[in-house]
Amino acid sequence: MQISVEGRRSSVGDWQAVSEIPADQLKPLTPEQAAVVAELKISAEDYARSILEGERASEALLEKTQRFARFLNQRFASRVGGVQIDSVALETWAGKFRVAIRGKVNTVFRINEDLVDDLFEGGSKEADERISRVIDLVVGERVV
Amino acid sequence: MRVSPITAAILLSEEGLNALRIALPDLPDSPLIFLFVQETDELGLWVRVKRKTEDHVLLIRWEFVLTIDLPAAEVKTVGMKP
Repeated sequence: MQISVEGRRSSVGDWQAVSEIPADQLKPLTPEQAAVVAELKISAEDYARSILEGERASEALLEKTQRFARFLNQRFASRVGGVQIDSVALETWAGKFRVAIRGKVNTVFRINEDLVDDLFEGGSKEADERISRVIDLVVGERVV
Repeated sequence: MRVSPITAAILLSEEGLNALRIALPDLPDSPLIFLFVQETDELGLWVRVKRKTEDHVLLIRWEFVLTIDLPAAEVKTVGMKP
C-alpha cells in the first residue's frame, strides 16, 4: 500500500518549535536553495526555517495518512471481501484523502480530511458512520 | 483551496510593507517576507509572529497582498504493509 502526502501544510506547533531553534543550529542550505535565496533576495535564515518546518509538518501529515489508511483497511476488511487498498494520498490543497482500491472493485474515491479529523481528534460517531457510508456507496456502486 | 496553516513567502504592496514594518520593526530588509499564515478569511491573512515574550496574530488585509508563494509540488511517499 502506497501512502503519500501531496503539497504542504504546517501547524502552529511546528512553527513554534522551529522558530525557537538558534540560527547557528539550522541545517545549512543546499547550493540550489542558496541560489533561490540570492535570486529572490530573501532571508536565508527564514528560508531555512520554512524548509525545516515543512519537513516536520510533512512527517506529521504522513503519519496521519498512515493512521487513516490502517483504519480504512480494517473497515474494508470488515465490510467487503476481495478489496485491497492500493494507495492513500492526502491532497493538502484540497483537504481530501484520495483512496485507490483494487480487486473486486477498482476505483478511486475521495474523503474529506475534516471528516477524518472529526473522527480521530473528536472521536465523532457521526464521522465514523459517514466514512462507512462512503465505503458502502463506493463498493455498492461498483460491484455488479 | 486550503492554504493554511503554513509559512509562506509573501509579497506585499509598498503600503502594506510599510504598515507591517511599523508592527514588526525587525522584519528583514527584503520585499518578499516569510510569515506563518495561521488562517485566511475574507478579511485577509492572519499571520502569527513572535514578539519578545509572546506570540501575536496580525491581520494583513488582502488589498495589500500582491503574491503568496507556497511550495506546491512536494510529494512525500512511503510504502506500508496492509
